[in-house]
Amino acid sequence: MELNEFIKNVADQFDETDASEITATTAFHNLDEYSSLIALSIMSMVDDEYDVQLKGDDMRGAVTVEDLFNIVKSKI
Amino acid sequence: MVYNGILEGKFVNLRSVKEEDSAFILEIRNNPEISRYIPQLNVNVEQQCAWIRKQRADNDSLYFIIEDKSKQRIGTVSVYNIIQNHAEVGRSCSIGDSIQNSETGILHDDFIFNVLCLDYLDVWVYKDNTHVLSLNKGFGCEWDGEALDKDGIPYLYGKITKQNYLLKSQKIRNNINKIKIH
Repeated sequence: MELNEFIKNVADQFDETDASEITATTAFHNLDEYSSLIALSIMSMVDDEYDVQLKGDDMRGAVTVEDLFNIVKSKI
Repeated sequence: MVYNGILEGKFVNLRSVKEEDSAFILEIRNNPEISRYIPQLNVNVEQQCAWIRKQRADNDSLYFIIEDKSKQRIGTVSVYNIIQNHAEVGRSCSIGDSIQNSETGILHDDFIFNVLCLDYLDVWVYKDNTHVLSLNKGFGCEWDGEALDKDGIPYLYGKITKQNYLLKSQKIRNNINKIKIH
């Protein structure tokens, strides 16, 4: 599981946010487009791509994209 | 108005507000971290009870408590100003997670379009409330314009039509179906 690939997969869940805005250190909750629906899309993507089931608390607990990556990695 | 049934989902249920919910409503509505963009309620529990009695007797609104599956109250949502084929949604506040909040939107909007048989929802959101602007767009909202409220604060206004909702909600339903119950 590679961080760069994970960042790209997260960026793909946003329709209007430029992918260049999403990096390892991005606090994704603060992005204008972020909402419950984007969180749900990310959880669905993580299930599809990494066979990991995130909980709502996992999304809340992650500040940056890299935090989320580490949570997913710890569950593989 | 009162809906006597329960809107049952995988992660949340919605039921009509009762007088016993008054203290909970005041607590959640007056928590600035949760209800930043909706007016605080400067009333006591008895006054809120009286307001709920009035709401339950009216003909143009429904007010729901959101409960998790252990029946703990986690928020509120309401459809009001129901006039002919359209209405507004608001009084939305929740301490639930993103899955619970997304499913609440689906249960509530399914009820509005399929049970109340309305054709569209009027939506207005403060321009700086970017997360809720995005949320509404995710449910099919199309913005018609921008205006200022009585204090000069800019907001966007638009509509969610039943047709747009049905198109956009399919992805949300698929994602919710995929999430496992822990």
